[in-house]
Amino acid sequence: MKAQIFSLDAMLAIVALTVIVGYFSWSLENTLHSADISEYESLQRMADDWAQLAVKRILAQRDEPNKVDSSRLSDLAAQMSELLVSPYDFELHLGNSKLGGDCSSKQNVVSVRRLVYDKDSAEGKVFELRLCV
Amino acid sequence: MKGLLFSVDSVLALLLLFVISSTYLVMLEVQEKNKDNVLMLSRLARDIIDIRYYQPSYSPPDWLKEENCQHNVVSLDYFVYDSSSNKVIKKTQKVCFNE
Repeated sequence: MKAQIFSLDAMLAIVALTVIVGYFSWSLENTLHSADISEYESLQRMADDWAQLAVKRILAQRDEPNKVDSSRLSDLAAQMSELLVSPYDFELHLGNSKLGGDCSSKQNVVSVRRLVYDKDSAEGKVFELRLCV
Repeated sequence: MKGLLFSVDSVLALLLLFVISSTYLVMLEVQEKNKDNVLMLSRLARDIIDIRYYQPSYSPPDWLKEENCQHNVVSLDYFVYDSSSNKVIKKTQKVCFNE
């Protein structure tokens, strides 16, 4: 029996193949990758939270958000070290300064960049927070 | 017409299937990436607004653009108080990556 473009058996075979492959891909994704994805999303949220707290509160005064005092970086690093225990690690970058551990050897790394105004040097800088596991 | 294993129409059908599913997957990936970018750009736009509040001459780094944005642009409306006129003014901060 011939369809307009493809033969009926070819169409049925393709539909069956699609259903089988689709089902296996779906279950494979659920079992193998969902943990990685949720871990990545959770890392991204955590990094965003920390960056937000850092530039609006910890490194800056409440009435002057994003105006950072670089001497407070060590205070932020200390708080992060206390709360983010192993297997988490983090890096803090402000201009050329870097504090915290090392994310270069880790597989899951998220990075959040924020714009800040450095009080000491009176210039705009980029604050980057990397969180890894 | 028969090939070695499949008939030509089944090979064509398979190709069609791969093209459709690949397009769908690429679109899904692009959508996810755009969602991440929107959050990131919104935060950066807010940073610019906050910094300009006390440092009006502040200009963002080269990897960000505020004008001539073609795509992936975030536009944030905000309000400032103008003491000279004693009025609240509505402003818009646009930001996109300089690609």
